[in-house]
Amino acid sequence: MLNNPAPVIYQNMMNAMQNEQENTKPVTERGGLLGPKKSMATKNTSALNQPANRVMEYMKAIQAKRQELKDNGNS
Amino acid sequence: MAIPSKPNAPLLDGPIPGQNLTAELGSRPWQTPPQFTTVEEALDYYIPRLQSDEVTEQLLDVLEMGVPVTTVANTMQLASVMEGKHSVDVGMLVLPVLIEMIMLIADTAGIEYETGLQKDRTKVRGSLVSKALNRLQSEDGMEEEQPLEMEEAQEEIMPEVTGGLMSRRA
Repeated sequence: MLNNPAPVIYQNMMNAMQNEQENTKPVTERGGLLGPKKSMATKNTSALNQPANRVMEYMKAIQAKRQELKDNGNS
Repeated sequence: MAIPSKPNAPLLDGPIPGQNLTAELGSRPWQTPPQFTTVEEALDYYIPRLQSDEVTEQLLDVLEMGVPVTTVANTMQLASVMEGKHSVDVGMLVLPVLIEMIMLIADTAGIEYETGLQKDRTKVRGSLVSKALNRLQSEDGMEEEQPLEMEEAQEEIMPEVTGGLMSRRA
């Protein structure tokens, strides 16, 4: 029986963050008058509406702070 | 409800019949609509509490005692669910942020803590050790008894061979 789901949830979120980093490719702008103004990759505003994605963003922000703290401590 | 392994075995850890009727539906905090319905509202509730001096001191004490961060975070969200602050779903979503926040507080304070995330395979639970010992002892007992039985069986099966290789068997 799973008593504490926290490690599993945390690990899943970390995996999702890694997958997201791997899947995001740099967007190359296409020239020309008939080229699309915005690529489909930038149209992910609906993704931020998902609570799990927002949680991911919060986690990234806190992790960045922790990393900053570690870097300051080491130097 | 737990199903007993044997048909007539007494069910000791289950609720008694009618226990669900001892309190009116909706009288418990977790049966009422939650106070915070979104992740942001829940985090607005948690983060100022975590940053307060009183809670921080208690949190650091608990972490220094060796309680994993994941256990602390899960206990916090579970308590809030029971108080009717937020739903279980919001609690699950808030958990990773709480874990990160607790680790940030501990890092800021400069204490060593156990995250509870990595599976430390070098540590073996005491119950597993005792189980393995019991199994080993029972196997040793069986091995001591087995050779005698085998020797007796061999004596019964194998007749005494007399004469050369080509001699007739009895």
